[in-house]
Amino acid sequence: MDVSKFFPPQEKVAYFDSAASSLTALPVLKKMDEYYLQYRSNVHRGAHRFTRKSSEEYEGVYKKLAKFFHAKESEFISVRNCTEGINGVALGREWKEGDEVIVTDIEHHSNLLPWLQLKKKGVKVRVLEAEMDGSVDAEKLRVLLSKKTKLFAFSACSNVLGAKVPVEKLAKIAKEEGALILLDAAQYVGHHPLDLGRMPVDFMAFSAHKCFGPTGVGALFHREGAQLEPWFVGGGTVRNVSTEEFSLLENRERFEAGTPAIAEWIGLGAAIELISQIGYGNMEAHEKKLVGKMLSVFLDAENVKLYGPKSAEEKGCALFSFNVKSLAHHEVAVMLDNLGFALRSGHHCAIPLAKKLGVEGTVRASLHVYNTQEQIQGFEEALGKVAKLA
Amino acid sequence: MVLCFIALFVFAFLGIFSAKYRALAGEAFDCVIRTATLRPCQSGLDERIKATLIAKLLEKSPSSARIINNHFQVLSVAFTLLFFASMFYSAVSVYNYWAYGNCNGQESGAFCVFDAVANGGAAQLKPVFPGVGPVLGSGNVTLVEFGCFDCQYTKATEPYLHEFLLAHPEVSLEFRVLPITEHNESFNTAKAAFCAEEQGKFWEYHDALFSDADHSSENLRKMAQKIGLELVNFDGCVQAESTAERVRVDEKAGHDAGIYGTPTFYLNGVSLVGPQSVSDFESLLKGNVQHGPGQVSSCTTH
Repeated sequence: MDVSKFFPPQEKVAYFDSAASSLTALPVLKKMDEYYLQYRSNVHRGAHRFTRKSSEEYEGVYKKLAKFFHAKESEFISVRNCTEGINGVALGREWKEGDEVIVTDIEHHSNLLPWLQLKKKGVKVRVLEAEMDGSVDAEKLRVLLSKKTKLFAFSACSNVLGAKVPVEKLAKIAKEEGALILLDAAQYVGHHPLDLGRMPVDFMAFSAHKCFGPTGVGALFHREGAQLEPWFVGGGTVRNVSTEEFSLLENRERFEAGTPAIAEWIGLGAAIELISQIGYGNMEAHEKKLVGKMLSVFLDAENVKLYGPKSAEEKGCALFSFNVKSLAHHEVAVMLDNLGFALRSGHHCAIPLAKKLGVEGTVRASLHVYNTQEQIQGFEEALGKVAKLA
Repeated sequence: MVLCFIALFVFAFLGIFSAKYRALAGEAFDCVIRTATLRPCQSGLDERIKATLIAKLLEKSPSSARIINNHFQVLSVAFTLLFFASMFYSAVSVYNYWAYGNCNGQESGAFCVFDAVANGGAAQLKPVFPGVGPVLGSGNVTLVEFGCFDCQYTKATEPYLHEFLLAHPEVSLEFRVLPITEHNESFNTAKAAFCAEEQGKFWEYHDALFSDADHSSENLRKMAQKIGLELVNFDGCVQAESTAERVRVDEKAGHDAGIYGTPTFYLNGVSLVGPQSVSDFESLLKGNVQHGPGQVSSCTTH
């Protein structure tokens, strides 16, 4: 399926930085333009035609999310991004001294710092050591689990290593011990289907900007029945207020204080519609080919060290972290940029993982459905030139 | 890290003309301050500059890119030192120009990098007519030189001029004096030279003046005595108003022609200001030099 018509052209530079932020799809921009140009207004609590239209579009996104993830509308909360969603769970739950949270040692800071903050409340953070290639051993998880474990938070796909994570298996093991599950799906949504009706996950967060949507918005899924209180309050969250006290609404609106990112939320709706239109089947098939090609590029290249899985079967997402012998990661990224390829370099907000790998940082190539085999061929040539400098 | 020093100067200069370079200059400044206070530079500007340069080179010559990449630290230190040396000498030159009217310093005999011939042009001056000053040689082509015995550029040209004249007997040299006001003894020296001419020894005295920089009245007499001039006549000549008038005639001729520095040469109807090499004179003789604005080092007249 030719998806190029849905995205801005990559004429001068091939965009290989989708793990940081994907390209924004043209239908998303069109939908947001439509809001701003045709019915720009605040949502809810209004009577005029514009607010009715904007509220309808805004509310419609919850329906789309529910359908997309096989969940209920009321289980989704509009947040700024995946990071806010995870923080919301850490801040919005009651914790007791002695409670335990398990995280892996390959997490993005956004799925580590919120839990480390809980240490102030006496919560113990236990670290599940992943393998060097990013795979997670379920048996190691079993060892860490106990009745004190209140939550197991892990990424569906590492933003550095891209290893395949057995989400369902790990979640089931943790659930058996009574732990709740938080899934950081930032690198997963938009690449692979996520059936929350089947997956034993209690919380899931993702950002719109990594799956063709706009920046500044994301969604937090919280399963019905999983205890969660608003982590901040304000306009739009209350049923009644006096100067002495207030009572919050019962539905999800209690979590969404103040005017939300209306255009962006509507844009997110357009993004998941586009994903549905392209179809996860087509996307996965295309990305599988890209992954295979990229792996052969890295494995054939001299002076290049690839981190993470070396086979397509073990790859969970189309991202590749590497270094070129004797060259600084930032230098490699700048050189490749000059040669027409936009890649990210640094620790990718995963300093513990960088330390585990024994590096200051890596260069990361991350692909999406709009990348092509031809781009990878060009990348192979460019990487070859840079690698010969070593 | 050393690259940040160069980057600061370069981007600050470019920032005058374009806002995009001001942010880079700011980064470079931050890096320099951090380096000066023994803190690590965090901007990564030096890495970006290096990588950008290497990437540009990669497209042209991968082997050169590799060599430069492998020795980048040494090269960047060398370029930084050269940069600061260049800045220092530029500052000295600017000071010399302000203080002495030339970029090479008061007593320097060095040729300036600017050269009228090399730069493809000669100064546009009004013509002067030969047959007034003392002449060396009997060639039918006359090279007229306006010179000052106290000008280091006039002096510096002497060996090349001599070599040129030896190689070209068809050229004769006519010397016109043009004392530079800033050189306190130049007027007296010019008079002394004319007084040597009266006794038929202008060129011997001319050579003596260029070989001995002490042009005090006492030493002018000593030099005159040394080449065998009769001193009573010499002294009388130097004191005579007619001798001073003769110097003024040459001065006026030079100023009327628009000559602004010494040495200035005329040959084949073309004028050249500033010190010249043998090849410059050769070009002038062959008629390969065109009139045009020339940037030269010379002793400037007032």
